[in-house]
Amino acid sequence: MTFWRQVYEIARKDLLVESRTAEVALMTAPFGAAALIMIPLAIGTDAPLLTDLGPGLYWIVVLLFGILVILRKSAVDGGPQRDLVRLLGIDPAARFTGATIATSLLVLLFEVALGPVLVALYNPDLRGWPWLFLILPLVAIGMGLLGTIASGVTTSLGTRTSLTPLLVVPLALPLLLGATQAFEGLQLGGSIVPWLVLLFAVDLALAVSGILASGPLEEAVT
Amino acid sequence: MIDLVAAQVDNAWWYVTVAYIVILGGMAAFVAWLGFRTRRARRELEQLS
Amino acid sequence: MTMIRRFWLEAAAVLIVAGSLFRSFTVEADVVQGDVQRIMYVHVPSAWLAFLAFVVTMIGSVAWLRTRNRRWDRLAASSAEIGVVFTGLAILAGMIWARPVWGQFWTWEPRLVTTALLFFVYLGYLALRRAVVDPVQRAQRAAIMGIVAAVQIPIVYYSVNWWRSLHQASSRNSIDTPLRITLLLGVLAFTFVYAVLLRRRLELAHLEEELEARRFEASPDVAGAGITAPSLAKANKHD
Repeated sequence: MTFWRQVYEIARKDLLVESRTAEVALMTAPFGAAALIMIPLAIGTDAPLLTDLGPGLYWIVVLLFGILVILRKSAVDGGPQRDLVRLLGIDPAARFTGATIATSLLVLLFEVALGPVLVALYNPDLRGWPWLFLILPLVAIGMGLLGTIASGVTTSLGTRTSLTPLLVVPLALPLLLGATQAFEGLQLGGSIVPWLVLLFAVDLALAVSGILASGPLEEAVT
Repeated sequence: MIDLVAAQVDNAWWYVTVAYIVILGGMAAFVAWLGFRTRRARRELEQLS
Repeated sequence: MTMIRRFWLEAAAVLIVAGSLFRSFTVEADVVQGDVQRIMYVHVPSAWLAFLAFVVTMIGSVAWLRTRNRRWDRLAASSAEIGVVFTGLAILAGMIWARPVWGQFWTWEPRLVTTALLFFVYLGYLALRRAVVDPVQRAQRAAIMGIVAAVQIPIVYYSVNWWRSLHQASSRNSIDTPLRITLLLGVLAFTFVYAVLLRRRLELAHLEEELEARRFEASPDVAGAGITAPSLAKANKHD
């Protein structure tokens, strides 16, 4: 099996398992939507206020609730599954890449699912919306990379569900800033290229760290 | 800038003192805590050997 | 003679800290901020120490992954613990400074925000270490997280800096030479303090490792008396 075939099979496996539980589609996304509905009840339902704050709140929900996508059941390989993957001689880097692709796609799904909720409830200014086709995937990939690294490091730990968010959120700040500032830049008509470059730089740094760490990570987990 | 000029407060030294106490006190507390843990570890080792 | 050899670092640290303190209180007040600016002489060195400790943790992490020698993991862990304390102190001092100067406890200044995030990164690192029972796995996982975090922190800083420069003018005032010397003296003093604390903490780490090994040996028989547990203490001796 070539490297990319391995990547494809790992990603496919994760997505297949997810399709059976539909955790992201049927549980996490509604939870995120519920959050977006509840926020105006706390901060005020003033239309201009919501238009102003909407995009920022959307990205915060994506960041914080997106952790649940990282923590999903289908991302966890039991001991026997891990052993089998290892025995099959799957390249750790391929395993990492495959898992990242699966998580990134699911975060993207989460982002897309919340989009209509944002538009309906907050009536944001969607000037330059085609750029979202670039911004959303870049953020999703960043979350996927961070999530896979953090999940790898917290595998089979009892406190995994509390520890993973703590590890991911501080380091995901550049993703949040990049996304919100790019969005704001679009509304103000300014250049958003620096922010896209930031998002890309974050993703690149994480990808390199993750691939390099994938070998040691395999060793670290029994 | 005006904000900063206006900060020529009378109780400036109060803030400075609190800050120094916090920093130096924090350092001292950490040293003490380290010492306590070291003594405890040595004691336990003696008991086990 | 042995007393001097044992405590020379502590003695040097105390001397330099005393000197730095004296200087911090006697140097002329800042023209713009007044005496409140003296808080910077402890806030900046604390923040410096926080970042220095983090760099050492990263070095320890890389060295562990390359050599698998436990002493590097001890270094990384010890430095992280010292780092988290000083990050917390730096944030507190920063808040005490911000209150009289800006009228509020927090300014969204890039360095302060990055320091706050560094605090959470440290907490995550230490929480991860706490959660892993096996010492080798602990070292391995912590090393990976340490390096990933170290790569991301500069990016975090630059992104906050960029964001800030768009929304607020940077309030970086130039500093006079006598004040700059006081600041550098403070940084030097805190570096000595770090060295002292690191040495003590490494000592503790060594003791804890030995303790862990002895406890493992002393634990109940595996499968009755037919099998004896391997000696971790003997295995550790080669470090």
